[in-house]
Amino acid sequence: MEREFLVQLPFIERAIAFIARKHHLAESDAEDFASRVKIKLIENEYAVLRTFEGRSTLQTFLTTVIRREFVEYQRARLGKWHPSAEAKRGGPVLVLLEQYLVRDSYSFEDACEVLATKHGVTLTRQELETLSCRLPIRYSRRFEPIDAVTDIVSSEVSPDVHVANEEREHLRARVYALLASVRTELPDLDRLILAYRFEDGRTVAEIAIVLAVDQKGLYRRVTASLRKLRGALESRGIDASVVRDLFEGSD
Amino acid sequence: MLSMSDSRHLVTSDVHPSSERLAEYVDHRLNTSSRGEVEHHLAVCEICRAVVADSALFANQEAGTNSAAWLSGRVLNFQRKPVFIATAIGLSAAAVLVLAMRTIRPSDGIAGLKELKNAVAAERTRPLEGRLFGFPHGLRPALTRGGRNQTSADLRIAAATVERSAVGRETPSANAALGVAYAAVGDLDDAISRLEVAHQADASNVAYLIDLSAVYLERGRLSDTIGDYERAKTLAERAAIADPRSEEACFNLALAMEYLSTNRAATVWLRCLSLESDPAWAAEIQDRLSRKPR
Repeated sequence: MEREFLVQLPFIERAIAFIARKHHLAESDAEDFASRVKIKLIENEYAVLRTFEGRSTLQTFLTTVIRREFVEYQRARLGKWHPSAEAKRGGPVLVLLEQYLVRDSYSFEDACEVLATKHGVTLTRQELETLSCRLPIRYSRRFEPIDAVTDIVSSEVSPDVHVANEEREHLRARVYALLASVRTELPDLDRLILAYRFEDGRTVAEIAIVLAVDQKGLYRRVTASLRKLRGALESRGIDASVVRDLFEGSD
Repeated sequence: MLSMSDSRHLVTSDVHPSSERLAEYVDHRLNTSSRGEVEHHLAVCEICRAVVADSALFANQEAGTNSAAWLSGRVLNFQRKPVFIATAIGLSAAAVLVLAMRTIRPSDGIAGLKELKNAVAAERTRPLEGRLFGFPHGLRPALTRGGRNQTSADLRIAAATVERSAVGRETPSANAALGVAYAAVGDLDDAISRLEVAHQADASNVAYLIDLSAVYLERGRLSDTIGDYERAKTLAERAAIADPRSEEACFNLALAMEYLSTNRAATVWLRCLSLESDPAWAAEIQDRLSRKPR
């Protein structure tokens, strides 16, 4: 087993570097992750390697093991963080924004800066602000001295606005429930493609590589699935203009 | 080996598939039903989706690097063939024997293989568009899907002889012989199952890699499945790297790249032409090169 490990070590290091690079790990974190992976592979007399039964290639197996270890590494480093359902629905930029604002307690300005420099997000500050309004409030409770509180202007909205917001939230919940229900009617592969595209924010080119399917055909397939979802929503009285109003004119 | 009946690989929304199961998915080693089960889970599990996606993207990057290395001759420089031969001559007799064992399809006394080869040669067209290891040139099979040529009685008899001789013998060579016999009569799914078993038992055997890539190519061609072309390309690439002088490996790799509309297909065809020693295969490669945009 030791010999096999040493033979595969250059590959293991390339896989670690690929994952570290893809997930923007800082150099020191990448080194920590690399050590963690190697210990994982070596511990208990190469127990991981001994579980390999040869049903896949060894290198693909090693890559899945390393990628899974990355999940554990991130959990240990950052805590078991889960983006909110709303952030996931809003796409990868909103997930990142939520991570920085809520998990890492960045200021809004700092979060915008990191999104632009580290993740190449090109949205304007205004657009990000609009997007952030969709996030549920998950801030931790903070105690303030009574003197500071007495001067704070009430944030209560007028009854009319309150009713309108409630109606919008009710409609939004209904749209999500309908979408979830309609999606279960799609074949598994189409659900998977939509999840990769809209929940995980992967490009069609990436999905084509992952699923080993033709990219042009994949575009057609995504369009067909979206058409089905749209038809199903329309048949239940929710057309495109309602959905647009719901998400563009929020709050 | 590929059955989902094994409860260790049970896939539900609550239980994550094992790392090896996901690796099988990435490697396209699962049958349709097992693949569907994994996809059912992936559709609702973002962790496993991320594992599969990053593993597949990394495999793709690695394959690109290996392919580039092979094409540029870094694995073995084709321009320096005499040097390689001189070095090979210098190897000990035992080492040469080991090398030879990896690039032949051992028969292990299985009857009917020679007759099978002869029967294939007597057919109007060859059974697969890709090349099986050590089989002679034949006209290309019909390009229309679902329009497989009828096989002759001689071919069916030869395949049945191989089957009788090999069934029940769970050696890699018996499984490979069965795979080739099934492929010759157009039973592609069974051919793939048998050849995959042989390949898993002896991953370094170039003949198995070549045969398997040819059968995946054929199934991809008949069902227009990109996944089969991808698998064929990976296998042919491994065969070409393991034995850079293999004419069959080069041919299957070029064909897979052509079906995948890879820009470098023409370069690989040119490589095949430089390797080819059989005038009939060389003429076919010339024909393909003349019809394909460079």
